[in-house]
Amino acid sequence: MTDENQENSSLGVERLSIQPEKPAEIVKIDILLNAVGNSPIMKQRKWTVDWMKDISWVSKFIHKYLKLDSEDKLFLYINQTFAPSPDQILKNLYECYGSQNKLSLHYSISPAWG
Amino acid sequence: MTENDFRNIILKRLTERNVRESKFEEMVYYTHRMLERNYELKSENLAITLENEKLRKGIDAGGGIDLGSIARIQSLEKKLLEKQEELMDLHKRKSDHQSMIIDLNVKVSDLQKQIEHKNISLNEQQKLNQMLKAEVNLLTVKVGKLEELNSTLKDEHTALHLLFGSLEEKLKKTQAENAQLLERLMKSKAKDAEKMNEENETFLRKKNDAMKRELAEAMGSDSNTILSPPINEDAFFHGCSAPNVFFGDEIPNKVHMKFDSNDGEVNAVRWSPLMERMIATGGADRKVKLWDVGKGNTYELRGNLIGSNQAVTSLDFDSTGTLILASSNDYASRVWGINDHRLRVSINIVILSI
Amino acid sequence: MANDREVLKVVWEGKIPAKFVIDSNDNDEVYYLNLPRISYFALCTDKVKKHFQRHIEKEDDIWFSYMDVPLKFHIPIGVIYDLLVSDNSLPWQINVHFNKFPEDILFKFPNKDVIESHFLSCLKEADFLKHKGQVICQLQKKDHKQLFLGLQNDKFDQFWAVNRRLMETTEQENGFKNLPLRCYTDDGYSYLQKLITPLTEKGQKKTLKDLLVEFSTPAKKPVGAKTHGIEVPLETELQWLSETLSYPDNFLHLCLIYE
Repeated sequence: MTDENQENSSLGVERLSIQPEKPAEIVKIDILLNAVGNSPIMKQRKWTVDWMKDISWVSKFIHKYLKLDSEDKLFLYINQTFAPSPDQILKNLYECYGSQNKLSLHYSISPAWG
Repeated sequence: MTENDFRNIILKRLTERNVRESKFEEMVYYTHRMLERNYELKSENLAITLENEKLRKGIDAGGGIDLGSIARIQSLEKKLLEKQEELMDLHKRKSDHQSMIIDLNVKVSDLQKQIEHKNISLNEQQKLNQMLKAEVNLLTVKVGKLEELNSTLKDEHTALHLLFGSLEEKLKKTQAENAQLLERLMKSKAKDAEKMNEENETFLRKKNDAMKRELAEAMGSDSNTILSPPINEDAFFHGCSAPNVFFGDEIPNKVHMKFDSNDGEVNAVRWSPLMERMIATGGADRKVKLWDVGKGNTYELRGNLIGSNQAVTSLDFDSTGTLILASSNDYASRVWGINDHRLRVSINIVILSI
Repeated sequence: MANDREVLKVVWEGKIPAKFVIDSNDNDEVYYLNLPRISYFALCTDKVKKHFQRHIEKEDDIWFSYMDVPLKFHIPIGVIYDLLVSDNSLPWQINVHFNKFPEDILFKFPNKDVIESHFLSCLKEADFLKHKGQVICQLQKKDHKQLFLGLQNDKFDQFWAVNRRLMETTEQENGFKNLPLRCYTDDGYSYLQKLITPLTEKGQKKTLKDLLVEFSTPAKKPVGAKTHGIEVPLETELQWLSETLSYPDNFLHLCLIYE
């Protein structure tokens, strides 16, 4: 119960905040990053991440890891069907499209599914 | 709550929202229009001031400035602007018209081409039409001729039919007449025959009576020689050809004619049943000779039938008189043709030991 | 079937009058505009940009804020208004900026193609939740174009000609598989999204009341939801709600109301 209280207090912050502050208790999930097409394959594909991070954070993370240029574009997909919004948080994606603490994503340097 | 209820509530709230939020719609559009107009006027203003500057510079370079002339210049500038605008309008219209003209020219040339095509095809059609009409004429003439021919043939046919009918009738009539005439002929012939018979009867009766008298006279004498009564060959022959005649008995007492017919013995003689006055003789000279014994005492050799190897013993004609059969001592019988004197058949009978 | 044309039309026609103000001494730097609730700032603000660039010669990207909160380009305008403007004041006063683009908060949409692909991604996600993605993959590229252009050019019939297929259910299915929806909490732009079915396990139609229960935490219980500027009755059936009151991206955007 205390954990939840802390979580809620962090969520009930300034009405006009843009991203919620990190709650005291961090929930983590595993994300699997799969390459698509000619994209370079990451050596480590499974990462345990705070589920309050958003897609733009994941994108920057892959950018850094693969040492891509800032000019290069990166496209992320869920269920090999759609590209989630950059401000979508992993928690929501996991609730809808993940299971057993895992969420699978596909990344590509060129548009794959639109 | 049913679907309609919440739906209606939602609809009501949405319409209220729209009413609330669209209060400003008109004013916003109005402000936009004002702004646009503002921009237009600003740009016009800018354009005018620039021109103004140019003119002013021009005038400055030229010399003294006169207030009146400034006013004139300004009015002239205004007119100039107006004229420039008119000019632009007219240019626009001119280019529009020119493009229209081009379009219309293209259309006209297209239509002319089409007309040419149509003319050509029309001419062809007309020619074709004339050719067909000429053919039609020819064919109608032919048809007329054929019809005439047909009618004439039909007339001829009916005429021939009629003729045929009349000829048939004639034929029937003549056939009937013929039949009648034949009947009459038969009747008259029958009568003739009866008459002949009667005559023959009386004649024979007379002859018989005469013969009886002569016999009676002869019986009175002592002669044993066989007398041959005078044979009236004509009467004989004549009598042979008539039907229903019977031959009376007569003993010949006089030789009518004598001639040497064969070299050696004569074994057989025969009269021909068919030909008048023909006899056949066969003898020891191995030949069968055909004689023609004419009227009176004439005789003529008609033919020689050879082939037999020994003496001919017997002769016989066939019923038609065309063939003659002769037996011989050489154990054979032979048949010759009368007219061609050719040996036809040779029959050898070999008797085996019993 | 979303065949309640009357409601759909009223939803489509919602417009918020906005007053764009630029930080400057000149009083002329005000521009009024009616913003369609269902559209995006990335699609509607060309005129604003053009107007203000006459006065400001900067070449930087334009961005907007309300009460110091930057306005996102890729969330429907109506959602942002309902989230941020709690007193429903009109016209909506929006500040225009040409410098210091907040890159960590806003994402850039330099041209229409970027917002179009974002829009289509939302449609694909929504269809994946509703029909396992089977309806949208039957649509052709021209249908996708038609949807986006219908939204961009305010063509209701053009848009719904294609969109009604995304709102269809077959007779065997009793509604969508899951409902595409996002529930905004009272914490800025953050929202919750999870798998929500239109029917209970027993096969009854769920209402908004059931949804609020599903989005309750022991600490916070929402008592109502707002969308398109109106409060939704608690008895509203979720399937109908998804078919009729979704935004053009096929998602329901509900602003949860807490006590």
